[in-house]
Amino acid sequence: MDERELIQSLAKDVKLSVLDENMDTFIEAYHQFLKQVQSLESIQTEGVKPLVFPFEVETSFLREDSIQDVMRREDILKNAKHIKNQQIQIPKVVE
Amino acid sequence: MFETIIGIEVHCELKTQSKMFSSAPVSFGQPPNSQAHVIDLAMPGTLPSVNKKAVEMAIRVCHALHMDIDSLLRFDRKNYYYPDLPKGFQITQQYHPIGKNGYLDIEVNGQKIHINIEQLHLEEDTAKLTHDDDCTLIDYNRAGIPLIEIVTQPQFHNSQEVCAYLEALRMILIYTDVSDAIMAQGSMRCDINISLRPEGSQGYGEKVEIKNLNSLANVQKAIDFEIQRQTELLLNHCSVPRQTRRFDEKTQKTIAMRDKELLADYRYYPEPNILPVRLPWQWIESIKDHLPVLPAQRRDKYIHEYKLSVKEADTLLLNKDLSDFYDQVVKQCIYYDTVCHWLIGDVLSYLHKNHLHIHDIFEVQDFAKLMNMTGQGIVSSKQTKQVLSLMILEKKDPLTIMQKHHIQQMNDENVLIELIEELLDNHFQLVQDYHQGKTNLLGYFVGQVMKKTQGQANPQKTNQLLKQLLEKRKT
Repeated sequence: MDERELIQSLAKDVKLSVLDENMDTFIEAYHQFLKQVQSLESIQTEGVKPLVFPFEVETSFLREDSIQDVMRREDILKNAKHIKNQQIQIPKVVE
Repeated sequence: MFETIIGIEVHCELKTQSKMFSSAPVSFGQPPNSQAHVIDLAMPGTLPSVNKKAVEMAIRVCHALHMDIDSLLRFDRKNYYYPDLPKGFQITQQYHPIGKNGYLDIEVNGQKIHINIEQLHLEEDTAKLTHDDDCTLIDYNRAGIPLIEIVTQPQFHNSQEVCAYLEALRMILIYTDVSDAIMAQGSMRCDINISLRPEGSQGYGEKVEIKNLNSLANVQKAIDFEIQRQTELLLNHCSVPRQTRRFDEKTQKTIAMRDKELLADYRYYPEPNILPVRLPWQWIESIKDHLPVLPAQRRDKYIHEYKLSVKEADTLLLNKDLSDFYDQVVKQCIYYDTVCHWLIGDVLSYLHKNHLHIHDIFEVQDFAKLMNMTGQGIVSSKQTKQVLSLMILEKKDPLTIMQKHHIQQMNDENVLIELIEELLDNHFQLVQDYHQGKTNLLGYFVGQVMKKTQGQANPQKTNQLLKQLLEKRKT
């Protein structure tokens, strides 16, 4: 797969379309990104535990079980392209 | 020839007020997309916050299943891209489940089986997808409802064992008061992992997963079908492909959904938006101390202390409200079998017929009062039935009802003797027949006295007096 095809395929995965005139900009960004990732490879990670939280602390907070917020349906459906029976309609995802 | 090995995963929706990680309501039967919060919809900048009640409920079930509880609560992300998951990942507990290494003892054909439970973890439910002819519809009401997943070791051998386990687990979920656990409504869902291996061998055959079984009947049919299907494949020297299948109600068969090799890699990693939460041991222990009496203990008490039959005990236990009610009534009434007889008989059928709960129709105290009178023979069986109906109708206590409707047992021996003598005088021939061996005529005489007194004569006393008076006339 050449770089153009790769960009098109990635764009498809995240449901975006890339115009031909923008392709060179994307390829340039892709090269920069690759370079940054490659620089990460030089870091010695053997024996280093993964860091998930910036501060490894324990908390004790649990939320009380009470109803506080609910969105209005109009807001939930606001960004939907198609609506049917008060639900978001999308292309069929099963055969 | 072949040995079947089955492992079970059960998902159960918890009946909290709000969702697992948001404060949106958990409610059923609401219009679509009316019960969601910005967190459920993964709006930018929102952060999850863990529902305390859901954690408490999970701990309750862990205790009931004798599990080791991890006091450090941690969550992970299961990443996959599908429209039922607005965030693009599900928050679950892949690496550190809240409960591990538990068990549940079940009974199959009178034999006890010890089921090892590997783990119990907390997670969130997905949105509901409905597939129309040409499109898919998304309802986010279900997105984020708290779930617990309970995973057994692969140790079941047939559908009967699986169904007994599911029924016992369902009772635990109901009696710990964490869920309605209704399979048909999806509040309890079941996935089955099933494989066959030559009898006596140690390894596992290729595993087939059957997803989303929504009733015990379907669980049984799906397993029986799958055992037969895999047996036929193996006998024909074909391999069993590793697959995910579903049970099709129309054809009563399992149908391949996808090959397991093609399953996505979920790229699990620790959930960075929820810091580990340290649960105080005192809290975990106090949840154990407040655990309701579980079905197995209740059953034991019913059979050994209250001397109910196995069938009576099991019928009572099937309905938690009824079992709770029974437990309260027998604190005020020692006629354990009488209380059970009426509850699982007339009362239960009335409840079923009218879709009611026991507390809709009776107060514990009133029911206990009537049962005491029935047990002591102050009211007859027929009168009990009448009083119960009137109690439901007029919503009054039994004494008021009996006073108002002049229902009381005739216990006065003199009155009864007079009635019986008159009856026997009028039936000279039948009395002769009785003395010549037709002793079943006693029932007829009792019936006549009951008729004459409109059911108010004390049947035991009538019976006893009749025998005495008939005996007297013999000479």
